[in-house]
Amino acid sequence: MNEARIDVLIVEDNPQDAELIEHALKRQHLGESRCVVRDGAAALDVLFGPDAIATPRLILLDLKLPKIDGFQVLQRIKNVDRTKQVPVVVLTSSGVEEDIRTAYALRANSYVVKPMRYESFMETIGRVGTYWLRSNRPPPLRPQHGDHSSLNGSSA
Amino acid sequence: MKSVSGGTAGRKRSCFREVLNLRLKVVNSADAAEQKQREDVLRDSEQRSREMIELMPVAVWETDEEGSCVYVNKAWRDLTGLTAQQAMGHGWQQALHEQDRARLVRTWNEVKHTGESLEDDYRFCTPDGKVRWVLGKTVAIRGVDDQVVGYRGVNIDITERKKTETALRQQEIIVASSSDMLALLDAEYTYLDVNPAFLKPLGAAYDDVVGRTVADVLGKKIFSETIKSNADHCMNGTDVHYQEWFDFPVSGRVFMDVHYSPYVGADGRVKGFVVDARDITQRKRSEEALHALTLDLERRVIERTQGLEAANKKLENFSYAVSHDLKAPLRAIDAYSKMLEDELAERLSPEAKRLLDVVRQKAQHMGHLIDDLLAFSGLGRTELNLVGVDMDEMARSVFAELAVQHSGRKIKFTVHDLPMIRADSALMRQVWTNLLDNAIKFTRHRVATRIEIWCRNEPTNYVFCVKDNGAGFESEYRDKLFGVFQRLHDEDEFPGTGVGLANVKQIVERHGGETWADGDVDRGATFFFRLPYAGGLT
Repeated sequence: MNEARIDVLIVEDNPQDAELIEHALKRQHLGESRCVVRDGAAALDVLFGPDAIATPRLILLDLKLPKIDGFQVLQRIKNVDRTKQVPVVVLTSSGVEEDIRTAYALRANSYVVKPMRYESFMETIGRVGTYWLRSNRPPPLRPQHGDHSSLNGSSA
Repeated sequence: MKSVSGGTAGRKRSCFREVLNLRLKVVNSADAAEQKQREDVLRDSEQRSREMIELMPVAVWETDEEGSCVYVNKAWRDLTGLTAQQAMGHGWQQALHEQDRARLVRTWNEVKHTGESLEDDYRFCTPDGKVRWVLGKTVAIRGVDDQVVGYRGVNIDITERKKTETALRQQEIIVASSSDMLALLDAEYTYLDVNPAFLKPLGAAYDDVVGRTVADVLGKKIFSETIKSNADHCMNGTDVHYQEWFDFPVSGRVFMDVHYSPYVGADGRVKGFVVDARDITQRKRSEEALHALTLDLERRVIERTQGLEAANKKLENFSYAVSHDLKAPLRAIDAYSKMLEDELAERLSPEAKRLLDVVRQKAQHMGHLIDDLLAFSGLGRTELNLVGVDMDEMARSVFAELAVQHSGRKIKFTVHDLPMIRADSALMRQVWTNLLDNAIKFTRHRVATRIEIWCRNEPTNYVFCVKDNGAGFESEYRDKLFGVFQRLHDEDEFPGTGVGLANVKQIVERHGGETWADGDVDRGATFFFRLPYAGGLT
């Protein structure tokens, strides 16, 4: 096993979203080391493959991923003793109720719809990171006021 | 069979006396004493015969050689209701039923001198109208020289037999004219009798069938496979009903509705069975055609439904993809514009900053468009959840929520008693939100805004009306109001995505209603939606 210590594993196929997530975490000094993978297969490889990294402290997981989707990755993480205690926050554009239910059924720790506005995005990632890496305060479940996209996301 | 009866009234000569006289001539050679004794014996004998005849239960009468009645016994008088006196001579003819009288009198006149024996059925009718069928038999009485000296007849009451015959004949007519195949069979499956309809599909004569067995007539196969078991079951004492295809020589393949009932003899034992079979091929074919049609229809409905489900699924997938693939770049445009702005910070001129702001604004607006479109496409798919909705309360609470966002505005909001209806509560709330939001938006340039809501009743519908005193619209474009992304106003003046009224239309239509609007430029607008009392039906 690779001894490199990783605080946050970001599973995100969209490079801009990935960069924004990293940017948000970095700006708020959340997690010293981060690893970004672009698809589900790479995520499983990094977690369970021969050159697996040390178990991360937090996993931010998109659902719509190439090769192996987020649900399958989530299921695997929560079914392996070594990783099942790692908090997994689903971070996705979709607010489809069925997806939310499925994610929680597979024991996701939280489900967050990516806000459209930059400011909201920064704030949301900041809260998620702060809660799971530092404090034990739950992240706000209500979408930010004035952020239309997350409002509609949950009613689609 | 002809018969003659009657006599001549008033004549005192009886046939008996004629016979007696003839006999007396035969013995005229004997001595007087002997003759006297013989005469006495004969008289006694005649007397006894007469008494016997008088008391016989059969009607008896006698005529002279001219056919004139000379005697009727008690049974005859009872049968006809005439007295002996009335019957004498030609009086007996009164006893005949008027429909038989002319025929009988004619026959009697024709044959009364020939001495022929006659036999015939005819009717008596008593003076009080009682009709009796009788069999009349007449024989001539002949003298020693074989000459007819008179006639003697009997009448036997056959009314009961006639009734039975009539009933049987009527039943025969029914059986013969029935289009059902009818047959009577014995316990050995041999035909005892069949009706003409039975013969027709077989192309057989009566004698080809009667006396032969089912296996002979219809074939061994159908007999052993179908008929025998049903017939045996029937002969155990129960009615049997079945339907089966039969192959007949003439009519070909026919579908028969068959009833068997036990043929019970006088001793109460089952002696065979009665068949009543009806050709229901036409009905069967219609049923099959109907069934096929129904199946086809069901199949097509299933196909159509599957097609719709597939289309819905596709649309859902499409919406999902749109939500991901269109929003991610917009998020990037917004975020990267902001990051660029932060990066340049002080080096950014006010104009450059304004340009970046426009980029961000438009990206966000497009995000809103996508969200609204997704919500709109989702509206058609969710099931209606019909509950009681207090429209009055709902309209007021929606307005209160919206008013908070426009606290600086002076709005006079009037609601005239709205009814309780049956509708999907969440969707109806969206209707009010869209309509009231619209009304508030398009009255923003009014110093004193008035928004008024009321409802009017139609025979089977409610019509809800929302009237404002806002910017109104060019009435020639009223049909475009409810289209997706249709806007009649400048976006900068009245911002919005143009989906709100399309949502209203879609929701109202899903409830079986319709939407329309009235208005003119700068004269306000009135929006209407009609909902059936019955609630959403689609």
